[in-house]
Amino acid sequence: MHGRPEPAFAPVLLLAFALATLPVAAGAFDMAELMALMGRVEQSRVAFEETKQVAALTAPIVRRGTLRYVRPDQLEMRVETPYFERMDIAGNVLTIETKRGTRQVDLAAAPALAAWVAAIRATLAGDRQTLARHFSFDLRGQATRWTLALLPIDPVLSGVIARIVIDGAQSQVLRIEVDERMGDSTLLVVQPGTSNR
Amino acid sequence: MNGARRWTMVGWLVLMAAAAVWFTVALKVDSDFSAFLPAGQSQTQRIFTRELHDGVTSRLLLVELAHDDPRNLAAISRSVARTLSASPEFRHVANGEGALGAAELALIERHRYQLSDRVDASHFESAALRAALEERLEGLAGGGGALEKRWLASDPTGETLHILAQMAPPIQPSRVDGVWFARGGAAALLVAQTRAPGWDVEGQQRAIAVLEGAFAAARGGGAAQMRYSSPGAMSVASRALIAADVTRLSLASIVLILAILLWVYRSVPVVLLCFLPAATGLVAGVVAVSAWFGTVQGITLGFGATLLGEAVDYPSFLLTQLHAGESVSAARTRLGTTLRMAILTTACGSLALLFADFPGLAQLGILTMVGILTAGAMTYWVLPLWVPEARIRIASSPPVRVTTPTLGAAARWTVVGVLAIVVAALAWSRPWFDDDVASMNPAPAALRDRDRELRDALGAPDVRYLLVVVGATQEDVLANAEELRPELQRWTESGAIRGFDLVTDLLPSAGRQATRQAALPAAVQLRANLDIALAGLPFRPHTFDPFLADVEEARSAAPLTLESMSESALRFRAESLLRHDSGVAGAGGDDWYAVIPLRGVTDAAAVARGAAAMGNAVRWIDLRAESSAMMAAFRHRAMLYAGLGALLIFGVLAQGLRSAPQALRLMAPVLLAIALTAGTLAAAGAPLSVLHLVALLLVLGVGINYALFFARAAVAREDAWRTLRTLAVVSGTTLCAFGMLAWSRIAVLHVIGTTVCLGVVFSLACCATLLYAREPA
Repeated sequence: MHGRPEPAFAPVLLLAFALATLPVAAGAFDMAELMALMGRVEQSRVAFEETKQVAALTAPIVRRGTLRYVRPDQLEMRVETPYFERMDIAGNVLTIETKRGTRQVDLAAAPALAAWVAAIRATLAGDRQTLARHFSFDLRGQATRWTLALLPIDPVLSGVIARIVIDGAQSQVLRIEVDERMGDSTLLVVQPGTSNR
Repeated sequence: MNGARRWTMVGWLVLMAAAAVWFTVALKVDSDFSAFLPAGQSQTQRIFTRELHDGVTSRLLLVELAHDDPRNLAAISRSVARTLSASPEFRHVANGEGALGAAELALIERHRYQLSDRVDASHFESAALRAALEERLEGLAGGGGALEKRWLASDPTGETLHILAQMAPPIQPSRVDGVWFARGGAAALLVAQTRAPGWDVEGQQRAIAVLEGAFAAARGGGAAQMRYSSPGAMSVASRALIAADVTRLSLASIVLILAILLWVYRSVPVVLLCFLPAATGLVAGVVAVSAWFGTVQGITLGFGATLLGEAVDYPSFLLTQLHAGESVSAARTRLGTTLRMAILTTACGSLALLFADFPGLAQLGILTMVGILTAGAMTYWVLPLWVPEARIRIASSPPVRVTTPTLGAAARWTVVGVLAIVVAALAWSRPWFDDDVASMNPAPAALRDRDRELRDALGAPDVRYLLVVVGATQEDVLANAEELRPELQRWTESGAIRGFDLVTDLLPSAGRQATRQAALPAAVQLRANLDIALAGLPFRPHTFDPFLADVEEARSAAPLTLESMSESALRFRAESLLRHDSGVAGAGGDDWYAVIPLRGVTDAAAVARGAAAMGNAVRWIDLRAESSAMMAAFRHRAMLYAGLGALLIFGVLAQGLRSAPQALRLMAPVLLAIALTAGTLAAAGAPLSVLHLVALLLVLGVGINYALFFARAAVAREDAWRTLRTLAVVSGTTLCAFGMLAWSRIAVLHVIGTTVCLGVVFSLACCATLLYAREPA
């Protein structure tokens, strides 16, 4: 945890890094480059605000919490408001903790959930293979500001989720938008300046 | 003489032709292993044998795919599952992919208010609805939001999810790519329920052929390998193994016996004639069994042929006794009484089998008795007419000088006594009887180990314990089973069991369904309750209109029945758990029962106590204990009949020898030899099972024959070498035949082989010592 600089959330280093890779970034930014960029992140932790638009509800649900990633496969989403919830994904096991109790889900047994996890985790990990297994993708923009659109391949997931769009700058994810088939959507925005340990 | 010879031959040929016609028209060979299980007296015992016979667990086929990349294995697993699902040989296949299909899910959703055990009047009051809605809201916000939405509008109280959670097996293997895997991703797992019950070896073989085909097609040129196990697959494998062993070993023993007889008689026709009585006896025995029972068990045929091996001795008893120039008829007249006694005593010995509670053993009894009597009659009346006397070139003087051992009465009994004491001491404090049915299981141990391994990995139901609920009608059974659910839940929570399959989770009793429907509020009431519950919550108006409509419809819905489940997987599951016991039709008692398979039983005693406390409708069956009790009961009866058989043998001997003390003197060494054999087996750590009893009966038969001839030799000393030759030939052939069986890989055959060999050796030793040895001058 200590002693190592963390490029994702150290803006100065980031800038230096961006300058160093300028010749590449100036050309067409492609998936290999994005994955390589993300692959250098050992761990990250950001605060987020998530807004859910649900057709059945008169007002959107807004949740706040932190999102934490540790290479290679650990992802934790901790929601503080309005209801406490902690989703911890390690390997193939998803642990969901709410004030009602804790339960574990085997991701391999829930393909849709596994794909949703892969969208975020594999992007953060720079794991192109896993992404390609679940989604077809479309990357636009430059290293300094990119947009990755993921379209689910799995029929179960694509029946529920239309697409997932991830925006980022360099190796920092800025927002994740999930559009559901039935019209509902979820927008997760990383709070600026909240990065790091 | 010539006329008699011709007529007997014509008669024999006509009878054999008739038997051949019978075989082609009426003979049905059955290969049901459970024929060698007791039929059962009480209802519990009948349920137990029936479940062993064709219950759910007997139909489960467990499959493991390994030796390839997990991704390839998962693909093969999916492909095999698809093929099996489409095949008529299988009812149900699971490999971890969506356990329930769309049809099943729709059925559950449609009947959710009849199926859910949470439905009662308070469940739809405003307070309960409010709690449910708050839970939904929290769920919508949370990670599983997408799942919540599917049933939000029509099912805000979450009944469908509750029912699904209750049905899901609590123990599941981990998954890779959505299918079950074991051993850290090294092996993919499938479980399939065959349509054919476990005892139906033909059906099982067809199912396995479909599985093998599906696997071969899915694997293509890959490296993957498949292992599978099920009671049925074990039957198929053991049948193949038994057939292979029996063929191989009986060929080998026939060659050895032929060699011995050829060496003795030096004539091919004579040797062939020696086999004739036994062969005729076997044919007659099989006809008798199939006429009496309708079918013949494959195993009966195998064992029967073995037991009749003794009949090969009968011609030898006659022919090896021939004096120079003596006709076979004359020898028959001279030896008549001894021969008659030898045959009748063996027939009496098989009496114990005749009354066995096991259909398989009773068949064996009839086969042996009819076979022995036929072979005896052939030897006694027909053989003397048929044997070409000119061809017999048997030595008419002793090839070596024979000396008779000299032993005083005290010395004889000392020898035998010391032997008995040594065996008794070695066998002391060791178990003498083994009533475990497993030792009757012809499946090789490796197959049984594999079965246990796969069963553990898949969390398949325990095969040893069975919880059964009985009732007079189907409705009765379902009502009784419903009462059991809280208790089952407690056992699961306390860790006594890891899970259970309760039929009423799929099919509640009509009464319970009606009660639940009656508890559903009227539309106006429900709307009022819902409006109160919704106050202050951010749900849009009319969101829950589908819910109101569904509840209103459910109030007057027809009850869920097996028939209304149509052809869904749920119906198969319910049907396999709910059974009708036709065995007690008209007895006015509990005709229906529900089987509740238990998974991972860790505290059987606690469950047994709990079940006992719940009254008469609930039966706890420990298959192991139950079968052991049945075996013990059978053993006691078998001993009784064996005793009766011994008494009859005594009667035959006393009549033939015209002296009761002489009869006792003849029987004593044989009974001693049997005791020594049993003791030796116990001392060697191989306690006696029912199979040993069968083998010991055979020892009794041949032992009495040896005793009769030793006794003859002791009276006619100058002719003793002939009798010793006779005994050498007959015991030589018997040891060859059974020594071969002792080599078998199949426990059943191995046991019979070793027991008979031991018994023959002890019989010879005891008879020689007690009957033949000369008193010192």
